[in-house]
Amino acid sequence: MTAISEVKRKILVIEDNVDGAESLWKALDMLGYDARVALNGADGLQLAEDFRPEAILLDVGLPDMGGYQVAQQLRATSWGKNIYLIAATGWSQFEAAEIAYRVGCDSHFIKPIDLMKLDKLIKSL
Amino acid sequence: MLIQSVAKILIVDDLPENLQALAKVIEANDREIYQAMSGDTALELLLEHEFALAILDVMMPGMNGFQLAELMRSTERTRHIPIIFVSAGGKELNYAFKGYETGAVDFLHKPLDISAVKSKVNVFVSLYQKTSQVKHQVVALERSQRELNHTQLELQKALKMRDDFMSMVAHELRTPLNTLYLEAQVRGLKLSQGDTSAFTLEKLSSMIERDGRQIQNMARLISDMVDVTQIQNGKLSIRPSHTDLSELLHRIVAYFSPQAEIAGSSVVLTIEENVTGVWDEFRVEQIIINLLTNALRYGEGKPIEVILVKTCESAEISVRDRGVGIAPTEQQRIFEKFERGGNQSVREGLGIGLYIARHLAAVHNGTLMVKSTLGEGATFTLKLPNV
Repeated sequence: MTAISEVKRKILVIEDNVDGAESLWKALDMLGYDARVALNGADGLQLAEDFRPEAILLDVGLPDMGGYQVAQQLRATSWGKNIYLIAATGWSQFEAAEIAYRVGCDSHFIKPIDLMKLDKLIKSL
Repeated sequence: MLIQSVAKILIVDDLPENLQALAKVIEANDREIYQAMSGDTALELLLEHEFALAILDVMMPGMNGFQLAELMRSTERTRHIPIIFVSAGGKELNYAFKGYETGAVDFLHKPLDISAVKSKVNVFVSLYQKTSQVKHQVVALERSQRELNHTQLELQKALKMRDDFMSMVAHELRTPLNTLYLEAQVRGLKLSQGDTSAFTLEKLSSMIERDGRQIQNMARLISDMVDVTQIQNGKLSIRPSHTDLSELLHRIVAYFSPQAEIAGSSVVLTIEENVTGVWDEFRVEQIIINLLTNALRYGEGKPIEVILVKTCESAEISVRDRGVGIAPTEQQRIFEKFERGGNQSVREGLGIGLYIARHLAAVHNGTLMVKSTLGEGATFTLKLPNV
């Protein structure tokens, strides 16, 4: 007999827009993920360390520190360097995606976020 | 049309009757004749005026015509003045002058042939006039070139500003759009799974409230964008009508309280009742909502006060937060277009709210001022004159 793993995959959302964060949390929860939410960069980093998610969905326009800064700090830790990091921005420019990759994000989503694409990406990890 | 410049002609001869005769022959509307009876007087005139032509008698006591010409050629200012020598001698004298390499030189022989004099002088005068026309054209061209360059720079700046603005608007619209889209996707999935528990009356009403907020956000962004364009075109106007400010503030604060609560804050209202006047209610609401949004954004979750008092000349609404405050150096800048407070990491909004708000106050003949101490919050006061 093989045990089927029922452990939910852990996703962290770092997003300062309250409504946006809540909607995303609700969506991820419904898709079967164990999702947590942080409303600013500092809380996000702390929660990432405690929660150890598999993937982080990071809004790049945060009030306390830029999302890119969060990415850099996360990548500088021993526990955070391998977490799959998804940048989410409202900037559709090519440069925004480029910056995201340069600071160590693994992929880049433009808002509004397509849930099916996001789900597919996380399932493929 | 080009202005015909007057050509000044210097004639030098030691005999006054010669000078008078020559002046008579060459005079015309487009020229001024200056007469000198010696080389020294001629040099003085040369310092004072810009000459198109000098006609020099060769044989003069003291400084002769060639000596004067050599002095003229040795000075930058007079080097290029064309010279006509008038000589009584034979043509071999023509080569006694050593200044041929710079400027034009010609000869006339006594007795003077009137038509030869006229035609030579005409040639030099028209040469001078053409040259000065070209000079004027060059100056005018250079000026319009400079103006064009300046205009081009201004245009490039304006275009860049508009591009940045459009990209900012797009960015800002995506935030509420993102929430709406996520909600719609979640609902769609739940429906497709036959999960109706997500659509209870209670859940539906909170859904509608949340959707309404996103839509309001987007509508407000679009209005702001339109307002800025209208301010720039000088077309932003108001429609004043009877307005009860007290009632309006009650309504705005009631609308705002849930958002304040989400941000961990609250709005405290201290107002005089029945403050009425003739203002544009919609625009006043726009100003107050802008001030409250800012107070919430920069208020660090501490309570926000809204105060309304009526004086004999105006109604005054103050919105006070106890958050980060605004440095004195920033207190003007925040009212400018595309600027926001010193905390650069706060990138929310278009950076045009206060610019629009102050403009709206001004079209009411009112004012919007700020008082703040860094670290102790800020108080924005809107004064609307009683009408």
